[in-house]
Amino acid sequence: MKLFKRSKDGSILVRLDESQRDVLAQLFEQSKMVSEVDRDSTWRLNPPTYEDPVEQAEYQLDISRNYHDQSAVNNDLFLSAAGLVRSAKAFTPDEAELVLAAINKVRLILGTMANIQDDGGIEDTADERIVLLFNYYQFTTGIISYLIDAMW
Amino acid sequence: MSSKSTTLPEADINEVTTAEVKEDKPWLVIVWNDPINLMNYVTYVLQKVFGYAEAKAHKLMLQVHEEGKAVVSSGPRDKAEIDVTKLQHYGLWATLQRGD
Repeated sequence: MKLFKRSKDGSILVRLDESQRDVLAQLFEQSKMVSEVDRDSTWRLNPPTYEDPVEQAEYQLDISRNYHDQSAVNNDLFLSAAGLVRSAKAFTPDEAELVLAAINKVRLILGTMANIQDDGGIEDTADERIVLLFNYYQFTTGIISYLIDAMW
Repeated sequence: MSSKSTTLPEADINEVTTAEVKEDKPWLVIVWNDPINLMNYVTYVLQKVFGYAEAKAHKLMLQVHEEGKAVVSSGPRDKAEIDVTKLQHYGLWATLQRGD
């Protein structure tokens, strides 16, 4: 069964079961915590905009003067997404966009931590932590694929 | 007002001209390949952010995947910065580069 389905009114019906909702919500919540303390694993959430380091430094200064912290934006995104997947029976189009972006950011964190290779897999390892991260990564790959299909 | 004319040294004129030309060049928004973002996700985001038709978005996605990067839009610096911010919001690896 497809985990998401577009309705005639444009909303996206959510067919996740309770355990899927719980795992996804916990991944959002833990991603928020990781993003606050682990810059190495979360650099993809705030990548440099300019390739030129001088231009990047100027841009960063400008951003910090005029806008709020990007990590706070990501934290709000993760918390909002966690709330939605725990209880929503359907997403509005805007909510679906929010959840989609949040799932992908979770994947960026998990993929960085598990050191995903070019073929989409991981190197052979006996490290249970890496294997567990990869399992969660694959779980989010399935979820995001269903959601994209429903939103297209 | 002084009627005395002044002449800029040639080197200064060249410098100004080069700077002006440099500023006029469009800025390029580049999306880089990475092993995490799914191909259909990248296509979806390019459609969503730029309003591209599916065929164009798919072609750009394939260029990213096969060549390692693709220029997905270009224009004035302010607009290009906004484009990069939107792409990064979706988690795409996007950067900004001055056009040649």
